[in-house]
Amino acid sequence: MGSDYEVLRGYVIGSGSDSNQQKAPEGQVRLEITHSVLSDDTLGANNYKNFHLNLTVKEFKEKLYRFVGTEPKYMTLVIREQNKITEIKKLDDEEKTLEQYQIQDGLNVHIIDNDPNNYISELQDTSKVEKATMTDEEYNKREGTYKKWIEEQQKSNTNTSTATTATTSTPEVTIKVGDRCQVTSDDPNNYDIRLGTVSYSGTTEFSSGHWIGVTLDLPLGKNDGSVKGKRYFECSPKYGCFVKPSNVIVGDFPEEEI
Amino acid sequence: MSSNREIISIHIGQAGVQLGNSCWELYCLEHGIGRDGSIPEQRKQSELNIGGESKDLHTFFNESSNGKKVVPRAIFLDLEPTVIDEIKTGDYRGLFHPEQLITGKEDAANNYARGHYTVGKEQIDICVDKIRKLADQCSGLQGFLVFHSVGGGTGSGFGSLLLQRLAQDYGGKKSKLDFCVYPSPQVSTSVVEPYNSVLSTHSLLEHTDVSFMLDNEAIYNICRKSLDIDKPTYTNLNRLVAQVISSLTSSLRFPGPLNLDINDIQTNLVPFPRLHFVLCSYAPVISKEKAEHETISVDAITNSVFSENNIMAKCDPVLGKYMACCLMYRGNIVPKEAQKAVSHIRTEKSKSVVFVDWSPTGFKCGINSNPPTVVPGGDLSRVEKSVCMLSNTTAIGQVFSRINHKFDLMFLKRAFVHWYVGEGMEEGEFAEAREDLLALEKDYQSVATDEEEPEEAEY
Repeated sequence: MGSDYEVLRGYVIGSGSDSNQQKAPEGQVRLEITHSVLSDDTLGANNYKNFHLNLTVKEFKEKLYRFVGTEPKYMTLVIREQNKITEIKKLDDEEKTLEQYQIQDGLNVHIIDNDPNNYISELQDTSKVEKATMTDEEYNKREGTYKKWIEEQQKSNTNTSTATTATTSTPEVTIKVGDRCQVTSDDPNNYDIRLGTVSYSGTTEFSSGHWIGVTLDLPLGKNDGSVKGKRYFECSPKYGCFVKPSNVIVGDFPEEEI
Repeated sequence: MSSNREIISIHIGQAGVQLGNSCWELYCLEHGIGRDGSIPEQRKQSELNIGGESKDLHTFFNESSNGKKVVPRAIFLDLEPTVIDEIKTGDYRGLFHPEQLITGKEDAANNYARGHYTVGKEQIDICVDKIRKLADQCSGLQGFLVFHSVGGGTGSGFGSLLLQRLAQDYGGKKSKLDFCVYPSPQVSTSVVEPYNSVLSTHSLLEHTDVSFMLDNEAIYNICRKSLDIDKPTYTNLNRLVAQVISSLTSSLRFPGPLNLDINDIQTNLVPFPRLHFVLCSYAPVISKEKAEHETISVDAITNSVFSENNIMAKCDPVLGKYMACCLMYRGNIVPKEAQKAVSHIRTEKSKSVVFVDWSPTGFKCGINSNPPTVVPGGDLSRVEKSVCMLSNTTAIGQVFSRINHKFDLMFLKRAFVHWYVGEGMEEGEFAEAREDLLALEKDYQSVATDEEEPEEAEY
């Protein structure tokens, strides 16, 4: 069946004015811009813009500079077929206009970045800077935040009902990463004696309060050191578990072997 | 007359204008009016005409005094002329009045500061004035739909300037719904996108009521993988988005058993004003194999809008919690079917579709009887049922976090900041916007984590 699907598809690809085939207005040319550092062709940036044909290559480069950031002196411009592979010509005469180069609608202008300092590519690699976050302290100081709002809401709720979960007091946690320990369970059906090494101690994103992450000696845990997509420590699947400090007994336990 | 619920659409910058072209193309088809706004004879005799009046048209169109023609209640603005020139020479040139198509001479050069301050300043009064004229012709103006990108210069800079002015002039009484194209994770169209996006979002936080997030890479992938279009063009992308926008507004235009209006959508989706960035997804877009073998049931389309692959902005919804979720059905669907589909989601996806405990509404459903599409060429071939999901989830924080990270990388080096300072902007505005967005990330994190979950003893 699937006729609904076919109808929608038919609509989306249907004929009519298609901006890629349609001609640019009089005196202009429509080009797809690609850049050797910024755009990966395979992903189809589809970045079409119209340009006046009376622009000289020099002026054209100045315009492109504002899009891609490559300084005109480091730019080589290549006109390619719509397939973004076949080269047609290089635009190397700064004084010639786009009209004189006889560039047609729908072609691709590929900007090759020759910057010896690789400035633009340096600006793409986010692994070079650590992701900034706002500290709780700064956040708590701000007005108009979600936190302020929800606190207001809760305040007005607690005025009517009895006080709900206020901040549970956090006892001093003395368990350290690297400590050998035994993990106890609140589950009465769990008879396993589970020994392991403390691998994480602190707050988590999956629940409130202080949690202890343990790498168990045997695969009797629930995870691999990550919970809900967030990693807290590394271990093999099923060897990791998180429990409350009250379920951890620190001691000089020998390592278990299968 | 007071039953009219008019909407003014405002299309800003290249992305906004091109999205506008696709939307108005679809509205014309849906309402059965010609490319020049003419009302065909057969339409006049059709069921849509109630008591000689074309009720459905009023939301988006102004009727001319002789009743022969309609004009879109819309403004197109671009600081440079080339994109709007295309409308003036294109298939729909007869639809718009030249007054509605505003262009300047100097472009924003991809720079928020030019769009917002120097160049934008010259156009803002003309634009506000024309919007006022359209508003004065309305008897029950509901609000504004604003279309723009946040990565370019005009969309981000002028867009936020205009939204500020609308907020001043119309206050909180008229909704401002914003369709914004956000930068894609892997495809940059411009090097300063992160700056423009952060500066623009800082302004959107204050001045819009709901922002619908779109990114071209996500929509491109839907077209390619789910609609099986080998090399999707901008037109393909925009036509798909037009379907979503049409679904959103169909309840204002066509009758239905469970119609949600703009205010319903807004109050249901946005519990706290700052957290108003909404994800959209649409079905029937499913894999081709499935389409060939399965009847597209209400259950199937409902299921598919929750899939990461159908969401029009790149993020993983499973990693977030839902604050609200609206399902807008269209076509021949009875409320019972919709309820059944939603209860399936509740039981079968209880692990991946998780709501915050204070979410007052959970799922909200709307049903509009008007089936969605008419294929160009006049064949009355219509999608029989479709659904558009709008969800407010903390997963959207991923989009902001990605952009903020790119912003930091550039701002640490003060790369290209001189372009902005050169247009009269102060560097402090960068820092202020950045801090506001960091707080936004933190807002989403707080929603996702700050709650009284059933105590689990072990993870």
